[in-house]
Amino acid sequence: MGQEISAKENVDLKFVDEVIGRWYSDPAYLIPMMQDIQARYTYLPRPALLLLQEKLNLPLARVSEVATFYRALSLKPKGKHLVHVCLGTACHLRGGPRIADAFKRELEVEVDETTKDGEFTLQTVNCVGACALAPVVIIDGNVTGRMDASKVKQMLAKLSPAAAKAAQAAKAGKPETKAEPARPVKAKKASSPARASKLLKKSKAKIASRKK
Amino acid sequence: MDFKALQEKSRREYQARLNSEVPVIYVGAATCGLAAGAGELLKMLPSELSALKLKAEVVPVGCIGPCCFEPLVDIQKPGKPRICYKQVTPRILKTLLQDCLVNDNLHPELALGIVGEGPAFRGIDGIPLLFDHQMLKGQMRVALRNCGYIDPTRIEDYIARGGYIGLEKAFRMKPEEIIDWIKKSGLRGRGGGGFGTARKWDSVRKAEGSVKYILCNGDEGDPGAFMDRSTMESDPHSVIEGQLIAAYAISSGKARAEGYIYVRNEYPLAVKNLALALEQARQYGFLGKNILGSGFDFELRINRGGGAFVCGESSALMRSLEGKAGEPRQKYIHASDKGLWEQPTNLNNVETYACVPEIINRGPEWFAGIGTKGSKGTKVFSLVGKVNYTGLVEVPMGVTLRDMVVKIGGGIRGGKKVKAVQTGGPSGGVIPESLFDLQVDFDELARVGSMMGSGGMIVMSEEDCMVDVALYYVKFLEQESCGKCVPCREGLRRMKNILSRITEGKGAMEDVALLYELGQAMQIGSLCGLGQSAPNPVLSTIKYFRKEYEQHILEKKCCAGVCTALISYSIDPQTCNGCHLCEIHCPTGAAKGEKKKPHVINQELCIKCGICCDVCRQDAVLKK
Amino acid sequence: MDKLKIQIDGKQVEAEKGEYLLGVCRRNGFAIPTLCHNDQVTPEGRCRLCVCEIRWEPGGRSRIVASCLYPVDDGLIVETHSDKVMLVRKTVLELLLARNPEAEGLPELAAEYGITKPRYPLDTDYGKCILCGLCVQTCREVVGVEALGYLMRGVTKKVGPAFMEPSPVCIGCGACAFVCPTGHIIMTEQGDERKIWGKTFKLEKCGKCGRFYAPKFELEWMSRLTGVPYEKLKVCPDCR
Repeated sequence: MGQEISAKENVDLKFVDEVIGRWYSDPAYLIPMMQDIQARYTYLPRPALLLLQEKLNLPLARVSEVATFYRALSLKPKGKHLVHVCLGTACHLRGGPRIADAFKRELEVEVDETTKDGEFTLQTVNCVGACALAPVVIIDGNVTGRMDASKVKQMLAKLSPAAAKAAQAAKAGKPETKAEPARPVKAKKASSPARASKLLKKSKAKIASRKK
Repeated sequence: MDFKALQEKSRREYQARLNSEVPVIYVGAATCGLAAGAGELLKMLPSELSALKLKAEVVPVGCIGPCCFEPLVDIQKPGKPRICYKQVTPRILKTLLQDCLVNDNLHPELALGIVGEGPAFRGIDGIPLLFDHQMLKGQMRVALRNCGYIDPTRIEDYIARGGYIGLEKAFRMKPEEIIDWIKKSGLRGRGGGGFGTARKWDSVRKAEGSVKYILCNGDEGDPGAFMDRSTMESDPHSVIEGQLIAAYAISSGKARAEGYIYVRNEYPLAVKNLALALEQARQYGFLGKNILGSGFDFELRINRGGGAFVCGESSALMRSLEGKAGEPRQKYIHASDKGLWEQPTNLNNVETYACVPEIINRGPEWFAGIGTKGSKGTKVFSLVGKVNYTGLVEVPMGVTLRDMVVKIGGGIRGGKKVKAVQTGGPSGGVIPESLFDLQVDFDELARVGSMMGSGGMIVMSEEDCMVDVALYYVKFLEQESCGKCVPCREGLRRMKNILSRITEGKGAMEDVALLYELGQAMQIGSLCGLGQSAPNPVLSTIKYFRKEYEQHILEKKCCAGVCTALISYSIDPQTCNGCHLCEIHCPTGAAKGEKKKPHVINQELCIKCGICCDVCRQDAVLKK
Repeated sequence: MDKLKIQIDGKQVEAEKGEYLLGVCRRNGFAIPTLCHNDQVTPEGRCRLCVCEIRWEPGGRSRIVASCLYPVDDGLIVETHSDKVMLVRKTVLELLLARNPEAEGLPELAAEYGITKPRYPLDTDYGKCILCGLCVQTCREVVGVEALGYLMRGVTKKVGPAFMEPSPVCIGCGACAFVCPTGHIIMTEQGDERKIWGKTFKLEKCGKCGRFYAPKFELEWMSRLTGVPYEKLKVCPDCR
């Protein structure tokens, strides 16, 4: 029965074995093992978990407990692109929730869900440590600071399958299929630090002139 | 290669770089730098340099602190000091390469300051010293001594600047003497507890066990805090050396020692740089058997978190290291007696370990001479939120909050009014402006109902709603609670529901009394520190900002303009120039109008996403 | 061995070194409520009902501790029903009653502390499980099969077999249903079948009285564990 499941879920059990060995075959490293398996499959396929249970001689209830306790681990497959909106304190104060809402709207998913076409998974993360550049969004591991809710549509358009096709066509030198025109907009709020310092000077001057 | 030879080689190479005959370009490439765009700069440098037919050395460095000015690129032209340039975009980089290196225009207007290094560096007209900048002037770099200067992927850089001398010196001391020095220095845990480090080391040393575990807590879960991330990414060896000294002091002559560094899952670059540093340390004999010929054996491994804030709690961290779910344990029996695998265990924070080599190098009196009576030495803070200068700062204990906000932070962005500072993350409280003259140290912050925590310092202005802040922390903790004990698991959920209702204008005054009572019960009844300190943000905002709660409840108003149910967006017809941007970006079609005529927001369709306000260049969108 | 001397609610009593406070209290006639405690398993301090207020000196600083886990110190001064203790117990009972209003025995226990109408909206989707963990611990420490565990964390935390699917190792012994204080775990029997945690077991007939008494799967497991041949186990406990 195990073989059938493996075939259906397409899990390379040799790879799982290698991961176990990579971490000294020591059950104390269950979490890093699971993370390495998830790095390859975007989630923890059941055959991999069963092999972990067997090779490490752990009760299945323990494997299940660890796999569901930690937020970084997932029993469900993820989309092609991982969107993480940071909701740490600094990002929260600088509009993080509005950015998360914008992604929810554009992708038509809730947090921790994947779009129906399997392209995007939206998640929130509680602080990646780039607080001075809040609000922060991480897409496929690339951290972007000083984010803006009005930039969300543009960002997603660049990653959409249509855009990917257009990029490939451009590489091959073929005429592009017209992709959605994304209007380049200069958002007002400090999306560029130069803007921010200009605004600061303006408001300082305003205050100074009011004081006079 | 023996240590002396390695030191000489390292120093030679480092000096050679400082006196390089080709230009050296340092790029701040820690996570903050990369988030600002440093990755692109690193990618384009080789082609840009070859296009200009320039030979230059490119050195990725860590974070020097003023993240608000990132990307930071330092250019060291032969014969000139290393100049740090701020907010370097690809266009500015091209300009700098052409003008600075090919021509002789150093662009003082683009510079942040001169990074002083080495015995003699000359100032340059129009470019101040970096550490004379308002944000950096009051700082004192102990834990962050190397961050931003060295290439974190080269152990030689660390050694050139004095690395592992502390370890060598420690090996010549008796373990008890080392613990005594730490005691004299007054070092207290930098992770949040503020527990006396020497006392902890001493109790682990005295505990019975065949193996002693020496752990480093790199789980830095407080949102808004990134001191440890920066240290692990920018100067991993400072942590390794500190942990080594601790391992020697605690276990030598008593039991064998094993070490782990537990790094949060959300810090991949920290894991990468630490792993590389460990490899290099092993190669050169700083880890393994008979380290530096001392007879002391120690191995250090990295383990990763799985995305659980509660694993910053020491007993939960240890369960996680054992491959289990991160449920804390009641600690009536201390981890120093029975911790990881029921053996005596020492757990210290990244910053605590980073301070240790300096204490050994310079002596305990030097460290004890800095700071206040109860809190010695320096502390790294992540100064974030509504201040102008955000980033990492390291100051002597005892600096006032006012100085942090006004002097170092440069005041509130946009000239708004400051309202409060939140310290200690989800375990801490808010401190109102009226108390800003207190000196920041462990005891003072606790006295006003907050705590030092790991060092997160979040500055809030009149545009931040205190009820929203309380709700934010409660929501965060509810997600992170392990769920083991009733007061924390259920208490947080109910607090969240009550606070949500208040932010929606559906609260009652009895709610405030209930929050208070529930908070008291959670503080004394919860099993671990997470639940015990969870009510702090709620209780401190009620204590200092009761008026805001009353306004939300009785007037259904959010004066800061944050709680979406209580605000509305409208367009000022006087200021609106009909540019149509709001209509283009509005996701629901609520903002509408004819081109060149004042636009209007249909309140029935408006979902209060705030995007119109973001894109309007005329300041015409009003939030009430 | 020297006995430790402690004071509980004004009364002087003796205790052994290493004993937990809960046992000392109960042995001396002091009633302490518990929900997650059972003498057969390791105490974990989940419910917090057993808290007591302790001091080391008269009038000195006090601490609230879970008595099921607190190893007594010599000279300890204990209050089992102080204001702070009552605050914690009342809060816990109010929160639990709001979460599991149908849990068997809970309304009665809460009423003892004056809690009849929680000040929170009553939940309907948490059933009767109060997450005391006794089922998980019993299966692990007493039975030794470890078929049950926790899933998720925080407010979504649940108990059950791995992945909430019928467990391959569950032997259908029913110990978890027996120890569950609120009636959450349901074990049903009909004819020669027993059902628990979504798994169906065929029951063995007693060789003597013909009654269905235990799952075949459980007896096979017992046989493997003890080395006693299966045939010898085909007698129900009453007939042995």
